[in-house]
Amino acid sequence: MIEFKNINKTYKLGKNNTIKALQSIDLHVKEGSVVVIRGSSGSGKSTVLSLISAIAKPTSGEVIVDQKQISKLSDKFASEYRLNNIGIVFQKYNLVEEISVEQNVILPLIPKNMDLQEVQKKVDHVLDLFSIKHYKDTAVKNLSGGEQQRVAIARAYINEPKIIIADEPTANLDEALSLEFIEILKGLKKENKTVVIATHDPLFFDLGIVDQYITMKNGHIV
Amino acid sequence: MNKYINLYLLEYAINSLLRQRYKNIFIISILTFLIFLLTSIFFITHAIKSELQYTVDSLPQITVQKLISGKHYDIEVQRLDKILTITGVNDATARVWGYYYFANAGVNFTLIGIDQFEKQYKNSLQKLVQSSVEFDESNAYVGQGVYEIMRKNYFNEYFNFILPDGSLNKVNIGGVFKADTNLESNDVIVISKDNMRRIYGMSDEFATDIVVEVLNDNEVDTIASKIKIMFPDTRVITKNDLKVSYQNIFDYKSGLFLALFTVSLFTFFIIVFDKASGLSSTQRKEIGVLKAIGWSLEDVLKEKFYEGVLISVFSYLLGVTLALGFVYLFQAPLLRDIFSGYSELKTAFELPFILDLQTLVLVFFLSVPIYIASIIIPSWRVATMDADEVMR
Repeated sequence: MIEFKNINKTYKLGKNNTIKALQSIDLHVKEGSVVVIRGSSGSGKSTVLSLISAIAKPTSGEVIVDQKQISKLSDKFASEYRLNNIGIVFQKYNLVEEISVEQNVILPLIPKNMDLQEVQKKVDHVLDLFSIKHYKDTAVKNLSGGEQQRVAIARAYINEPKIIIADEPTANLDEALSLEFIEILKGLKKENKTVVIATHDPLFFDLGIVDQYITMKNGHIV
Repeated sequence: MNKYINLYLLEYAINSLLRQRYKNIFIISILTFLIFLLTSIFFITHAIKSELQYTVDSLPQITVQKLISGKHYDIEVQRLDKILTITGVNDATARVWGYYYFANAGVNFTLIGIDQFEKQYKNSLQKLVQSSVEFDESNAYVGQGVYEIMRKNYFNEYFNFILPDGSLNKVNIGGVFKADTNLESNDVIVISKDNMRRIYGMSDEFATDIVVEVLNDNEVDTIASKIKIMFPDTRVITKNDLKVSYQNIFDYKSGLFLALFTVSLFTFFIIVFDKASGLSSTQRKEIGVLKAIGWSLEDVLKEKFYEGVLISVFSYLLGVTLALGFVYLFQAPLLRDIFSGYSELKTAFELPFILDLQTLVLVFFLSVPIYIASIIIPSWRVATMDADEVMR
């Protein structure tokens, strides 16, 4: 489902300063599998996620998702690809803190300009699924870290994407909340979603639901 | 669902504005004030220009004044007969007029003497004599400003003019004189020529000046030259000369408005420059996140467009409404005084209401699209970058 062919990614940090985030990466992820990318900070985990979600383009190589090369999509088609295929859970959730839970969850639906009833049905379902319906009208800034993460997952899930990407999803959670996230993960696995998680949390290192572990170091898969 | 306007996007734009409500209230206040100031300036300028245009239109085609060594003297009435012999001259009238200082109020009135049996040189005066009023020695018709000043000084029914020998000449106030414009009639007192002569100690053989009516407008300059040759001791003023003179007074005063206008524009462009120069890190990150969750460049720009439209159109409508109320309802206090005339009598002339669409369109294009552009351009710069790069 997801294929990296000889991917290199270099970031320019100034005129003469560059960082080689990924070097000659090849990988293959099957549909419906849960993949954990592990490695220390700066190893290139997040960059892999950015390339899968087409929010960054590789310096060279090909990223293929569902037999389509997404690494050379124009901005318009890359947005469309993300909207229909990808749900992202950011490390710091990246929610709009001042607006309500419902308004945050709706955000990925806005570009689709759907019918009000359809939107409401989807939102109610997702809020129910992630047990945050009672916070529907609460401003996100008033929620705890775990609750905010549920909102972030609901936002990633609402468009029913095939691929869910999570960048250090438990970095800001205590163990109990991290285990709760793992339970959600199991649910996503049951729904045959492809889940790619970048983490260095040991909790994920011995999970039965994980189909594939990828270990990264200095931009290489080891 | 409305396919033309994405209401969810509009709701998000409103929420986005509310999230920074104090900053946006400040921007709306500044924008509204600038639009209000600009529109008021244009409205006042336009209204006064129209008022002056009416005044100029009512002026005589040629005015002949006697001038010796630059000093103005009364002119002999008999010169009328010679002027009337010039080919192209339709009529000529000897005018008796002047200023009268009213010490109680510290103002100058403009006195105009008329003979109701003569043809009047102004439409407003012609209308006055045709409205069945008696122009005997006992009556005076006063402009609105004069009327109010007299009432304040308890001259409700009559007024006493002081004659050159110190005695008093009592005239009854017959009514309010209204010309085509308030500028023209506000400080005027119309009385009989005989009364005027008595007040100024002027004999029947003299007049203040002579006004000449010419059949063909194109011949005005030629006839003016002929009068000058005929009477070298005169100054011959054409309507065009007076028009230029009025325009100069207007232009001088509009310079003050230009200064206000420049300050307004300068402030507006500082705001625009500040907006256009970049986004805060929070705003940049927000655009990055929206793009990461599937918003396209078009969606981001559309949302920013809504934000710009909401702020600028609201400010525009509010500013224009305030300007309309300020100029036409409250008669532009403070600003109007700059234009209130060269007489010391600065009371009640009204700014005529003229729906000046040109001004409304001009102010709209000077404010709304420029503000919207200042919102969209920096957002476009950020939204065209990779979301990954923006969020880092």
